[in-house]
Amino acid sequence: MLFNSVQFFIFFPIVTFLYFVSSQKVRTFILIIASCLFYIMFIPKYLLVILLLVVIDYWAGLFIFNAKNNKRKYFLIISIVTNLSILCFFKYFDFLSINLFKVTDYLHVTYLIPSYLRQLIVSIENQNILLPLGISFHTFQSMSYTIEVYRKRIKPEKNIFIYALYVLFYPQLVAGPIERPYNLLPQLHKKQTFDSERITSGLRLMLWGFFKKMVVADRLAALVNPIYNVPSKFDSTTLVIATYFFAFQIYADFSGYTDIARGAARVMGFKLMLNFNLPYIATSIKDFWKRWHISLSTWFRDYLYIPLGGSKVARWKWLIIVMIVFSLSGLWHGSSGKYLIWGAYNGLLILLSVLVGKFIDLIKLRILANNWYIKIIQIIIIFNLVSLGWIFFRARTLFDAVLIIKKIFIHPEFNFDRIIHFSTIPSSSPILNFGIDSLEILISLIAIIILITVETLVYRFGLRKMFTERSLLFRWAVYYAIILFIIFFAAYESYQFIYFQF
Amino acid sequence: MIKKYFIKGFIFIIIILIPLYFIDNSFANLPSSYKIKKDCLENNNSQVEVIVMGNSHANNGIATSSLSEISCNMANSSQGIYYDYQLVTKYIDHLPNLKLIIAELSYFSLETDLDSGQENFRRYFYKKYFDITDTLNTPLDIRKYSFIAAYTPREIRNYLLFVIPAMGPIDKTGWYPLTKGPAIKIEVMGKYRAEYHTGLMNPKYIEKNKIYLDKLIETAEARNIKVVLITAPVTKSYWQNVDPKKYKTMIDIIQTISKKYEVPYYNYFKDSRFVTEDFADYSDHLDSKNALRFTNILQQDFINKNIK
Repeated sequence: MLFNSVQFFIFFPIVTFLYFVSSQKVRTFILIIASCLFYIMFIPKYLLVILLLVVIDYWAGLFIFNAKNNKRKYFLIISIVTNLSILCFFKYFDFLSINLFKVTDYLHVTYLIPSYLRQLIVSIENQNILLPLGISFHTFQSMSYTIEVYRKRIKPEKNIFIYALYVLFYPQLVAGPIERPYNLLPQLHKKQTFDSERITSGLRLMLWGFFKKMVVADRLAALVNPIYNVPSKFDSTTLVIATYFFAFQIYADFSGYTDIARGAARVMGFKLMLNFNLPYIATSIKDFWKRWHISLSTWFRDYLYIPLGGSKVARWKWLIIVMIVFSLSGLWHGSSGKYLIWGAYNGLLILLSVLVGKFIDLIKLRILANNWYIKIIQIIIIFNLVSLGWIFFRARTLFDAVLIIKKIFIHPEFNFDRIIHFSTIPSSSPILNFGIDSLEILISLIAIIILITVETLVYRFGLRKMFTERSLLFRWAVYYAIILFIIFFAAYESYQFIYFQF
Repeated sequence: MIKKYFIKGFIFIIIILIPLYFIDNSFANLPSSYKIKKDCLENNNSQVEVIVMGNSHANNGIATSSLSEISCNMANSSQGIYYDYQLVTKYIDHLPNLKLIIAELSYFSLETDLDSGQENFRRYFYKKYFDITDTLNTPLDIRKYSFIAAYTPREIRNYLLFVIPAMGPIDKTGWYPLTKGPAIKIEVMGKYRAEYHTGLMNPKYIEKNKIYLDKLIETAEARNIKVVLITAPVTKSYWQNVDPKKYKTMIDIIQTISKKYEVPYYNYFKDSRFVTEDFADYSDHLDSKNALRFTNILQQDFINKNIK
């Protein structure tokens, strides 16, 4: 079920109502059933995959806790291998098998793969198995549970239904935030009361999420998709514009989803972790990764980067660790070379930023870092570097990404006249063949400005508090304005959330 | 506290739902192309002799008001063969004087499907005005029930702010005459459009479209109503840039159907009587003056023969 669908507008109030009128014991079952319903609206049979993971990790948690010495580790390994095997089977099987065949063919060692195994691999490939929605999210959330039990940070959950709800909880089931057990599990035990202020705050967050998704992200998708689907047909100017638009599209899309998820959870009394914190005002690449998809970047930090040694190892080892972590985080997004390159590119930026930092220290320029104009320059540089990375992320294939990079940097054909008349040239401009006119582009730009302004005011200048202290009339007027803005300016072609595919 | 909160929430929703309900209702009376075409058929049902089916090429290119017979142009932008068939089925028994159906089949008609295409928002209007259900199973799609959602937001804004109707100056017979746009890059306009249409085409739709075309002809023949298949003219730049294989497939299929049912097929696709300047967009839509000329050609070529 998509958040921006009629189904959800029926589903959400019914589930919330049933939740509040039920006893605490029944509430867990209501949320489990609701979450299963929410999930089976996509591909029903894959609910069995999640339920299998629930059972395995629930028992793994108990065994790890009760086992002694090395046995604890074995149970943890069983849990992690099971989770990763399921993830790899659904997500990376084609990628791995194709590359395995290519490599063995290239090295003339095809005999290493017995014919029965080759036949088996081909027959699995031919099944065209679809990716279970959000599998990367719930496998990572499941693994964080068994790892934390192993680390003795938490005790295992004894109630299998509570544990099932930890994995299945519908607001964050298919696209996160990837919750930690020490944050979510205690909340699932606690009796949530009816708190009108909290509910209003949750609904407000959901409303803002819908604005980001339907007005900003989906509008920009209508501009970006036609260009990125056939980049060979567009000139450098158009490709640059589409790339900047995509930077805002993916932010509005993913953070919009997170806002709706966090808002829906908040209505019922659950506090999910923050996933985005104004990433495009980051002044360094490290800062960006502290602000972007926080639940994933902290997952990699806590469960991979630090266990591998973190920053407390020799410099050369640290370089390798950073590249491994970022390359894997790239691959987490999909089984394609473009995601690997995107991850490695971000790792490389981190390494470069350390070198640049050392140079700045050397020439004693650090003192300038507090100047506002230096900060603005840093923000612009980081935004551009991140946007460059988005080319790999958004392009359909690695080949397309290279083509776009070539068109922009190696064979640039910038036509600034095209920017000025971007939307006034009738259909001789390819983008207009898709029915987009100057007003539509202007509305998209206004929506981006509203998004940046409101979020900056909320996060940096306490707009939320100021707003809640205003009169009811004022607050309702603002809510109505946002609702009308969504109704009259949304793109009604409902695109799936980008992060559903991961 | 819960009760008080729900009452407050209810009031909040009612305050916004009431005006939205009235706005939505007002859209039902918008003079959209679908409504005008529907009115043409329903208001003149006892007299209509000719109806035109097809997509924008027929919608803009066949000036039904200039025909000597009482006619309705039921073609519309991106209208697929499925909707042609459904419209014919819905009205054929209420048109006692109907003698001829002109079915326009463009280069892309057999390989596109409105419900799956970029303009699939149009399917909601067939549901609202003609009660024709699309081929997708989406009962919970809000656009089936709300005009605000069904119209594109741009049209809603134009209507609310400037009272601009959703479509251009369509005449009472359903013909949508076009005026010429600015002359920019004339030589490549046809190329752009041909490539755009080729990009939309997919052979998987052929079978479905063939079935509905067969059904349309069979429905008409069963009532002794003649069907003529035509392909409207396009610019040289357009026809030179179509996919030759796809074009051949389209011609082969139409000719096979034409032979099977003995319905005439007139192909004006590369008609040299029309030059680039005759098209409003310099590619594939005739301007009003040349639509009249094209309609006159149709009148001479087969309408007179089939009616008298």
